[in-house]
Amino acid sequence: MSRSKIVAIALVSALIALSHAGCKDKDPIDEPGETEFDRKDMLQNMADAVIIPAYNSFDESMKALRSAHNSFMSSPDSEKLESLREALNDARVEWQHCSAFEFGPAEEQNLRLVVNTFPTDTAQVESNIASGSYDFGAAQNADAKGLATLEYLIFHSDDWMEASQEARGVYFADNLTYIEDRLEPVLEAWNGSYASKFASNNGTDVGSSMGQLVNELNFDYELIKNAKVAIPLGLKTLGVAQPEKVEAFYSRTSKKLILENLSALKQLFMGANGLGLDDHLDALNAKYENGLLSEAIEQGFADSESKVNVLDGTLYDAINESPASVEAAHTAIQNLVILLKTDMPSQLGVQITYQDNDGD
Amino acid sequence: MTVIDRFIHKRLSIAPLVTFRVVFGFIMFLSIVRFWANGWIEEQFIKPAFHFKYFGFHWMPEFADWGYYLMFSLMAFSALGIALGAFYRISAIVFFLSFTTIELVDATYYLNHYYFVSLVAFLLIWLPANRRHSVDVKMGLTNAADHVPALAINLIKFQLGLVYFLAGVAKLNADWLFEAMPLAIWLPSQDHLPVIGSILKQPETAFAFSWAGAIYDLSIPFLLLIARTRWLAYIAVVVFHLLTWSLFQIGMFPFIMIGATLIFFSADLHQKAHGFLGGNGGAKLPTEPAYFKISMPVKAVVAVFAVVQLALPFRHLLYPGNPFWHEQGYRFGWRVMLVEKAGYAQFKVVDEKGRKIFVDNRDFLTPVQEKMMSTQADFMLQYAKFLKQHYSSEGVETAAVNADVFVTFNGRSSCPFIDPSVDLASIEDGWRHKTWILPFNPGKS
Repeated sequence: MSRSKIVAIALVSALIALSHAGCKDKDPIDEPGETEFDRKDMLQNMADAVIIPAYNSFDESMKALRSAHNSFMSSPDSEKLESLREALNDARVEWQHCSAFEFGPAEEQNLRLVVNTFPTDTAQVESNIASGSYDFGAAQNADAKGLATLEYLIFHSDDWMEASQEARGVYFADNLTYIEDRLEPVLEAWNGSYASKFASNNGTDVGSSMGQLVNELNFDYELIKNAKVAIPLGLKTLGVAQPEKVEAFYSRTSKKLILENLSALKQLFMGANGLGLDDHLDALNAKYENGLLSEAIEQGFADSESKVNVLDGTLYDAINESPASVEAAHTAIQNLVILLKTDMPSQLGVQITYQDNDGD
Repeated sequence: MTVIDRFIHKRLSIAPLVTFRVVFGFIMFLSIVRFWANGWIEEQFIKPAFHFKYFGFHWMPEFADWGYYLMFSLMAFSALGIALGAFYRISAIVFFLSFTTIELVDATYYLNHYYFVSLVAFLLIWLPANRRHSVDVKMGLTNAADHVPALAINLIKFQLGLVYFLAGVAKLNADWLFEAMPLAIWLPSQDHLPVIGSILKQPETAFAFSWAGAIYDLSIPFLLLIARTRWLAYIAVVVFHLLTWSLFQIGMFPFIMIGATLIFFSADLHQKAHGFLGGNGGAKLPTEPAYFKISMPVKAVVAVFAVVQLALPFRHLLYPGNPFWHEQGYRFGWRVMLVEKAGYAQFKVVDEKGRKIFVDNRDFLTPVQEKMMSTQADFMLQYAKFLKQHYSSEGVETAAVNADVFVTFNGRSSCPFIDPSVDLASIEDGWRHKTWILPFNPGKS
């Protein structure tokens, strides 16, 4: 908010305060249905209980991945490859809990694209490895980096000797470094002063913390629907399935990652065990049909999770063998988009754009 | 003199009109600089791959990147030209054309206040606002005049009064008066503000603001016209607009209105102000009598303009259902601050064999365009046609374009907005009622 706006507010607030003097005869605290809700407390809780722990866990999982890779490279064998694979799967899971926070520090680093672009352009990866010279920041390497690329390197073949070839090991390690270098400033910001800046930016316009949270929660949720389900299922290609485009094609963990992503977004919505968007909606007494909007959204998450959970085998298999069940999951996920994208922001009064409006 | 005669022919001091010209031109100039500096030329016109059009203006060309910058440069210079009274007639024409053309490029950005600017710019073309304190007079391009026919000033007052009054009439609906919607959503969302935040949170505040807003809009044109209440009314104008400016994201509109309503003040006051500002306020100038002759065709055009202005905002009455829901006849009606609305639209392109493509709107639309399209039926038709064309050019034998659309407004539960089985790409937009818009039916989703 600009300083001039604050001056204007000060001017008119005096007048409003005067005009309100007459209605102040009853104690507002005693009013029924009046819930004291402070957006700042909610944001502080989001930072402390959801965002910062998620980044720190991801950071730890990346460190574990680094050490598993070092140990594999120093004395490669199939057992060490197995631990390396587990470490990578862990990191991919932890990332699901961070991917929605693509604003502020993460946005500056373009973290979502750096960490989790999929599917991997394997031809580009192989040519990079063969040439030994590559710049992960270059446009042609947009799909030749990140966790999906790491997965390709250590999962596409069960031959541990191949994965331990020096050039491949170097590509893996360079990739890790590239991610770490971009993660580092994000961790520093959130563990430093950004968290309190985040909490005190407690308005509802598009640059406000809640505006960013709501918009990015939606963006991430729609990524599940579109990139993780619709595209591999063939919903963007006239029903011609492209199961190889799932998020974790080589490790076959796509279903688990979707479930983790859903649960992470639900955690964000609930503010873990503290104040979250659900409490905010309740404080506003936001209704959906005959119940609370917050409950309808929770139910939406539960429906999406259960429809993904019942998929038979891996997501890849389900797309090939029982596409109808995957389509059902897509529908369940889409049903929640409606609430997250229309009812929720509308009730919260969140803006989606900096541009002027008529108030309509 | 009859009332109508006085309204048209009475000799009035030119001073209020000169103030209006200067203030309007200058605020327009600032608005354009602000728009440019915010990067909105790029954001709103250059970036989008596709632009939504107004009905009847589908032929509007889209410009090359430099074309937009040229148009905005023209706007800025001509706005200054209006303010200074330099090559006034040409400036007013250029401003009106460039501003209106840019508005017509993409209906996504429709704002009532842009429409207001276009209308005022159109009126200014015909008004002799450069006959005093202008570069044109200094350079001898036009004769100076002390007086104008009353019509010149009354037209502007009429236009301003209409905006307020009809905005007030639009507020006389059940949502606004009895649910305090959408203010009951918008005001609490500003509860973090210093001092007034805790007041904005109270449910009574939304009601107080709603009723006060409606009474303000309905009465302010008359209170400004009456000399006795004018100062009080103007203070109300300033407070009202500063308040809405600080609470809502409405850009320059409050300042346009605060500046424009100065025209209601007496000629005396304007002359004093001009004198104070070094404008040689009191000098008497001869005025040619011919200047006060207003021909029948001009009167007829003004009458048509006034009737259209009065009638257009009520055309929504011709459509069945709630206009906040279907938005038919909604634009150009001074319906401001009346609805909090959001929608979600999943488009599906279906081919000859019944196979489907689920469209990700982000592939084609900016977030603002997606938001606007998701609640406005005429945009859905344009988007469907665009999708059909796009996928056909990619070799898809497109048979139909359907959409599942859900809309929420003024705190009601989201529910289906259009018939999901209708082929949107095959429907031609028109004035007729869009029967494929479902009646608002909460509790069914």
